[in-house]
Amino acid sequence: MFFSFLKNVPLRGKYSFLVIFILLKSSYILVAQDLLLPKGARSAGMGQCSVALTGFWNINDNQAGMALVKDFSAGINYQERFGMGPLSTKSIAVLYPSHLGVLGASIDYFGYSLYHEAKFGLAYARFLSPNLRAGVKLDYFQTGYGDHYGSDNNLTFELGFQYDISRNLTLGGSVFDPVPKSNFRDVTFKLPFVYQIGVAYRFSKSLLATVEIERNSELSDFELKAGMEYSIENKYFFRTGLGTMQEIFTIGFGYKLKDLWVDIAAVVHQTLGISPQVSLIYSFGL
Amino acid sequence: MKPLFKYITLFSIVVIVLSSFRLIAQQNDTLSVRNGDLGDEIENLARTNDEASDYSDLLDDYEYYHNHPININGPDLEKLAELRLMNEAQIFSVESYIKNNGPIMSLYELKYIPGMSEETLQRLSKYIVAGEPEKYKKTSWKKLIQKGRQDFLIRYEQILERISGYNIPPDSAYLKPGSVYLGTPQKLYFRYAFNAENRFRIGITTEKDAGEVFLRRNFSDSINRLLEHVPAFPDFLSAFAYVSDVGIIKKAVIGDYHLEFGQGLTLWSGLAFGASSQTCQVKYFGKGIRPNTSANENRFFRGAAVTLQKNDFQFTAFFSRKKYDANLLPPDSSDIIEISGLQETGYHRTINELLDKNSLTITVYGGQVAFEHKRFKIGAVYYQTNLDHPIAVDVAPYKLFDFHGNSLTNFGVNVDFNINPISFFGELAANPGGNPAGIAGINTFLSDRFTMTLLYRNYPNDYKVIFASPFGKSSDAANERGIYFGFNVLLTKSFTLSGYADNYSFPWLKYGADAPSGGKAYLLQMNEIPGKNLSFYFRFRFTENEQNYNDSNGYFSVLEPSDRYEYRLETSYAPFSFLLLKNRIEYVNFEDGVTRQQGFMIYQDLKFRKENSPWQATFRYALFNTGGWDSRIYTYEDNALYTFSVPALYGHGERMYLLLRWSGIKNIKVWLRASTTVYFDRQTIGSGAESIRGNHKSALICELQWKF
Repeated sequence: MFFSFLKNVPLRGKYSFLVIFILLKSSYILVAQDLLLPKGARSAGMGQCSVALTGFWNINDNQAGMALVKDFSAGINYQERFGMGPLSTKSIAVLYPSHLGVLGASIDYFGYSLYHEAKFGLAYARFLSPNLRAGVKLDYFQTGYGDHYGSDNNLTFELGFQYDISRNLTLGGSVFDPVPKSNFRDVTFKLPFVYQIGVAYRFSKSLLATVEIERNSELSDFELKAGMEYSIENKYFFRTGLGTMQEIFTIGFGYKLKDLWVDIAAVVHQTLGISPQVSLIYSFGL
Repeated sequence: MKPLFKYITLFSIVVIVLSSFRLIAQQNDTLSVRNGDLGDEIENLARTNDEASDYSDLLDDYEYYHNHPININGPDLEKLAELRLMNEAQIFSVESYIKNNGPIMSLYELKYIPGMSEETLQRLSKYIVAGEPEKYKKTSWKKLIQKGRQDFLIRYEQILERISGYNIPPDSAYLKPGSVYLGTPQKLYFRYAFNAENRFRIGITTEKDAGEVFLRRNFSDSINRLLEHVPAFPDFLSAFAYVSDVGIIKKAVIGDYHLEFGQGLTLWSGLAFGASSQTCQVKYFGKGIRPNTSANENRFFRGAAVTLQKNDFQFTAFFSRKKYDANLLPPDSSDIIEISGLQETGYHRTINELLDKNSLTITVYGGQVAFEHKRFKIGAVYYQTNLDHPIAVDVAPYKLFDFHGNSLTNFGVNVDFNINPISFFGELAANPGGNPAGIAGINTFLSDRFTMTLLYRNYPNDYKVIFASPFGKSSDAANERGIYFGFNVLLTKSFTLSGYADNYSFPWLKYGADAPSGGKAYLLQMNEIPGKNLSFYFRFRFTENEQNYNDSNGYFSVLEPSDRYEYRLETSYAPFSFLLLKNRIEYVNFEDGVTRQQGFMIYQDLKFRKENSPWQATFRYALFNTGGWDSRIYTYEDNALYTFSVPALYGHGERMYLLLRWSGIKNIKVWLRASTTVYFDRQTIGSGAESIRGNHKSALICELQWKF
């Protein structure tokens, strides 16, 4: 807690470094952490849970969940950490359901001119049996350090599954970077090894709740996340959730207009402030 | 002796007048209210608030409604939420059931109402009845008073070992003004209540704490002079007369009373529950004017208050002038006597404590205007607090924003409304020219098996209020921000999962934290009731707070989190109808930057309760072993009516108690309780004036209630 005295400093763009320090102090590796987060504003509103949920943005976390997407669709996502431009992440993705399963591609970009991370991914998901689905994604990471320091490149993959235990209960699990490259050679940019397991339970037509546990090799402890979504006529969505180790509380709202989904979310941290997030998904219904 | 005589005469007149009305036969109540219904909440209060030891205020309503059960089809249904027996969602569910299916004719029907759990039903069963609700009848005063019940309660309590505060004779007390008890080691309590259907009430509560002077003995002149300033008998006396529903007067009280409005942010003088295992019940249900029956000596108003009601409008006005205990500072150059702070213990045992007694007069006056229509309520409170001695400025940085001076104005607006399936509540309050403090929350009923509560609070560090007690981690309503999230899931009718997460931060310094700090609290509880005679629950609770940590060099202190993990498993099993076995295993793990402590406690209860037998008995044997004070374990214990015991067990030792209740003569109940704690690891218990030489501490309680 050596940096506690910085907690009350107003957080604006020029203080980005302070925030990076504080994040490092709380044993958060900012790098890579942010590129694991663009899971869509729906997930962000539900305490950043996604492993047992299904939908478009599962392309970025537990791809098994995207096997349920029926239409060719495209989406964009924008999130800004603590309302600061340099700490924003932009994402774009497309999904194409074929008779062999759902294919997808995504690009995520975090940072600004002096530091950035980019992630390019190709994903594939399909049903293995009526209640079991699985997904896989190949990721290419690029980290750029300003003008003179060059960049790092990394290749890795992630895997996930989802199993419908009953009509209302779904179990999901996923791993990211299960074979860390750092085992084989020295790298400046180390990707974390992450695994998650969670359940989603549908209480009624309009209420969905989910709980999951995440273990990130770069963090000191397990993270327990919980979230829920309440829908009215399957058109308006109200979401809330929390994460225990990050000490976040989230709130979100969604609106579905024929082929267009609009989701917004805010992730609230007691000390660091609010991180807004917005995502749009358009399905072409080919 | 003179004041004693005066009180007794006055009191006898009141009692005789009331008794002269012919009293009708009473329903017999074989079961007493189990204080245990509130055990969890009281355990929580005890751990956060060591000052208030009398929780009988909270129990009053339970005792009343146990004798006058609420008809589930009647207009008093909402009272069950106030009593924390049901949450709001369950109330809505019952209401819509009645609307669709007609009145509930049997309590067995409740089981089939969505959202009702076995656990709720067990809690409820003692306080409700089914069937056609009684029509409200206008009754004459004479009839009403005939229906009234009088209730005398007298209690004696004493620690049996010699406490060092009594060792030095009072004559030499001035040598050690803070650690010699002038009085006798007995604690005496007397309470009288007359209650006619909650519409007309009279109450008297008097108390003498252990160590306080009961009757003046042969003290030295200087001590006698000191005692002259304060009434010799009794040390504490509280009384009230209360009426309700008389024409336009909704409620009126003369004497001692409490005020409870909104969410407790502007004005709330009584006790309030914080976060507990009832995770979805954080909303406050203010009762407005409420007579004071407790023996907490510094937490109520004295004067008069009235609430008028006309259609949907309510108007409350009150005036109070009461003497409080406060620590006077020596007069400064301008001859102004300032005080350093209010005392809340209510003890007047030593010279120092007697000097503080009644040294400050606080005058409070103001009112509330409220509008209520169906499920929509809005109220505006305004009041003025004046002190006859100003509170001194404290130079400690953490007290920079604390109230000082002798006058304080508070106002606030509270709202409470419901848009199915969500109920909203909140309050905004401020001092003139100051930053507003706010609290806002929702109770939701999203599915018949899922209830959720969200609550956000933001109390700026310069919000100043004396009589407030809103939801929060710290005891004063300032310098706190936080979000509370609570849920309750009925996985099956008998299996409940509930929990909360509370993240908070303190933007300014606190005592023991020389920097802005924060913390979090989580609770997860599973209740399972597999059968009529078996139930158990498992609870996990985690709290983290940041506190000063001095590094080994001691140059500067930094904040370090201190974590407390608590695990508890409690099982209740009734092998026969007359015997209940209950046991609890609790494990605590405490860690901060320097130390790690573990605590362990196990107890076994035996409760005998046979129908038609005048005897009831409870016996507990507990073993505990904790690494120190930080890993202490609070355990709620059964006790005589209106008295409470929640010892904090620490160190290594055993604790046991035996509680007997006898009700062999009609209208009379007698309680007898003996308890003892034996330590295996020490030869002296406690410190200072309270210390005992030896390894055991025992207490005896006798109580007699006469109710007719």
